Amino acid sequence: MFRDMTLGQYYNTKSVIHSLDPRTKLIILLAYMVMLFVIDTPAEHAVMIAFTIAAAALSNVPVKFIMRGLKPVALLMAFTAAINLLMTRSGEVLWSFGFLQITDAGVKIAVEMLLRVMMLVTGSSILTLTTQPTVLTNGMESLMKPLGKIGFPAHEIAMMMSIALRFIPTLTDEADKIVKAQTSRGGDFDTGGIIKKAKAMIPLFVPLFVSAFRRADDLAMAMEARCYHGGAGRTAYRQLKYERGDAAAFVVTGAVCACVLIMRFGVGI
Amino acid sequence: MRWVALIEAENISYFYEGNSDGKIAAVKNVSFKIKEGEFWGIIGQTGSGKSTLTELLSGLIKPSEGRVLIEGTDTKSAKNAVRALRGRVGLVFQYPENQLFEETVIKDVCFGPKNLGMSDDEACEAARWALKMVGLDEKYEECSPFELSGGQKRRCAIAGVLAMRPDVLILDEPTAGLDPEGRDRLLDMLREIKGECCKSVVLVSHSMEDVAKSAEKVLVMNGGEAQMQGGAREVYSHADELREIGLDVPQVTRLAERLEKMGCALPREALTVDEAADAICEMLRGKYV
Repeated sequence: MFRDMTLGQYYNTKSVIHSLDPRTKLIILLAYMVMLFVIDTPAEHAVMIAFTIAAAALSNVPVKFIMRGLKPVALLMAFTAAINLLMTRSGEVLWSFGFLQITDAGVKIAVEMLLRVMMLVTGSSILTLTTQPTVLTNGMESLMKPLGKIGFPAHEIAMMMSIALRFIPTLTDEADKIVKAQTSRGGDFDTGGIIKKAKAMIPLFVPLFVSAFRRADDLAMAMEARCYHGGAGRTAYRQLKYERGDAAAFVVTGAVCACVLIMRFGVGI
Repeated sequence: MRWVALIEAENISYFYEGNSDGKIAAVKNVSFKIKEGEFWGIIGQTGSGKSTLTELLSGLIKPSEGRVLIEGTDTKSAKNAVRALRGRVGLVFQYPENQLFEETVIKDVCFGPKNLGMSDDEACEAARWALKMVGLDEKYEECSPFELSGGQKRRCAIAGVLAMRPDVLILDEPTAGLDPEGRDRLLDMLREIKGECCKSVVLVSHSMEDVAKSAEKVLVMNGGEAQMQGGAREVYSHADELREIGLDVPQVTRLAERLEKMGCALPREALTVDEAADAICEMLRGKYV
């Protein structure tokens, strides 16, 4: 029941994208997202679509895996598209039925919205598919470090994220075991109404929380025993280093961004 | 109706999905029968498929190939039929104390019986009986299970399964993490349980000593396959084979082996320390009296 949950969805293979520095990928993703909200005309969309497809192709990840990320947001996308399609009042009316009408502007907005969300999800999927979660948190920590000067706990947040990620598989295993143990004691978690189902969860959640707290205690103890005292003065075993590939990635992304900005605002800006 | 075997496994295999290279077999083509009155020991190294086998035998998971019959009912049959089997086979998981959840010991032990459809009074009665069986007396009934000591927690969790009055009790590594005294008490308790309430007990362990102390029949698992099975004495006589797969023979068998090499074989086979002591005394008496 818990085994189907996949959170760390890293796809292990070798590719240009995999070997990029996590900070490079994070910065590029940020720029990419900003650009997605800048674009307006079909030509600008085409540039971003081309960029997305190129990144996906370079990542060596099967299309099936990249598309999997779209599944959870499919309903949201369909809903947004339908609302935009049916509720837009401006533009030429193409079809109408009662208070519903489809206008050409509505079609444009719906299609743009759909493309935008798809690209947004695909872009983030490429990041998580090509970067190991721990490497990703290291990258985030390194990027957030300058914020430490204004009191932002960059290291603590990164540490919390790594620990959370580290314990997901452990707790999933634990949950699986507890489900089996309670099932063998006649526990029933699949039948009955919503209240009965919620009540049936108590024998699962109490042991799971107990074990999570126990593990947290043990981990804190183990960390202290190894003299962990927060981020100050801490060095890393794996140093993040920008390589030639990162420079190339920045250049390409910069060029795409420039291209989109020029198309959108003209050379005058 | 009288069944030939309480649990019958016919050529069962169980596969799980590997990361990329397809299916991995956790259990391969295992057949064996648990009959009424038998105390089985399943032994094997870590990763030999013992735990998966227990889940298969209790009907929690279904075999990928072959079939498991619990008192004549196939565990692959309809859901209702399988639900009816819950309680026929009681499975105590590894570290069962991790499944405790209720406010009081008695409520926790009642969980199983209530799930089987017993009324509150019946469940309470079953729970009291089970707690007595595992040696937790009345003063613990209203305690929180989380206040108990490690060994008590374990016994409380075992009581939770026992209260369902299973015909077969399967325990997966019940002695893991217990001190020697706790371990001996638990093993004694299992023998008592087999004598008094369960028709059969299956003890799964990687410790030869534990199995030697109680089991009459032994199944040796190695790499998902049943390497050997049969009477305990017979299995222990294959000492070399056991050592080859990383297991050892019980200390008493080892002692007998050495004595034999020194030219003074024990007059009869012994499995437990007590039996060995008797046999040695007998031998010495024969020599000197």
